[in-house]
Amino acid sequence: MNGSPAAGLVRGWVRLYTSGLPPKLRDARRDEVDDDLWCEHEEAAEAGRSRRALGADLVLRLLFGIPADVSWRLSSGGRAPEPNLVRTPSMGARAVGASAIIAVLGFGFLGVLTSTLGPDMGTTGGSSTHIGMVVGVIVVCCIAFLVAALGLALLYQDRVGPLGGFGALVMTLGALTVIGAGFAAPLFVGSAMLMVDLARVGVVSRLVPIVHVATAILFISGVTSGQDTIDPGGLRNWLSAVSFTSWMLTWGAIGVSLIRGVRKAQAPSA
Amino acid sequence: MPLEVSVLQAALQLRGRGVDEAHGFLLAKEMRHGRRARRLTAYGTLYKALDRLERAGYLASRWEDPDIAARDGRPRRRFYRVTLEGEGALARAIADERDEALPRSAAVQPS
Repeated sequence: MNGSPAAGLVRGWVRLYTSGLPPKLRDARRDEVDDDLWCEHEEAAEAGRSRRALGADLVLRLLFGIPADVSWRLSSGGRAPEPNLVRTPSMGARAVGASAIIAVLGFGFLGVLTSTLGPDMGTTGGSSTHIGMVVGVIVVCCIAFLVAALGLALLYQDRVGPLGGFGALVMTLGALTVIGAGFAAPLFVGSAMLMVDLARVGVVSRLVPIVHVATAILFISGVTSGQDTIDPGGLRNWLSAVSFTSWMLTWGAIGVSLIRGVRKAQAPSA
Repeated sequence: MPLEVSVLQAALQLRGRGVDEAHGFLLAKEMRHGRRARRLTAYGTLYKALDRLERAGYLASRWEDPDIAARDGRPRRRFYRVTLEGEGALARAIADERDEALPRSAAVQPS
């Protein structure tokens, strides 16, 4: 009877309402009910009770307890609590965070420069000083992004999977192609890959990869359709501007967070 | 709370028969003959009550040595025992119940 459909039903229900709980709490409840089923089976066998009578008893004990199970589950928390995280200050994390912030500030400075002097000041309409300044800022920003991407992947190397690792490499390549050829698509694609993986392991919020994937898609679709220049009147360009700003802000937030220290699980106190 | 009272009473009845610690099924079995037994001994109701009583400090529990469970070929077992606080709480609950019952019974007594 211990492996009967009724016992299976009880076990299945217990598995269902305990799923997602902290392992200790989850296993305790599962083991207790499992032992209860075992005892009930043993007693029924000794008393010579029919399988049907025992099955009915198990199902009734299950059904009468469902409201209490649901209420217990709700009071035990809808999800497993996060491990006790503490911010661990480290020079490496701070350097990576500072790089991200430098990159974001640099791009912000470029945006201000572009809006002040006009979009062509870096190519046809600007003085050599302006051109040099724009190129210099772009180089600094790209190197800073390169350091931030690789540094982030290294900081979380114990958690980042192949997608994140490859994303960091693609982003590094993107930073170099921006400097060498003015081609930024790999920067956004690599960043999206890295953020998807970091969100998977809980390092960044799930909103971050959404922003990064949207930015990558908008950027690539703009490049492939030949509209990689800013047209303030176009809806896609407006979306691109919002998406790119959010992209920058998320990198800025990651930078600030890293300067405050890497979040690591604290060893449980004795 | 009648369920908690029933659990503590069952545990103390078992103790009276020499069973100092009881697991969930044993408590359920002890409670089977009481009022509303079906509802009280339902898995969810019983284990939620045990959990609540332990958190309140009225019961203490321990997991048995896993080697014993393995040797007997059964799942590991959790044993509960009533604490001093539990005994006191049960005594108070019974006294309160009696106090509440007295005016009611007095009301139906012929004067």
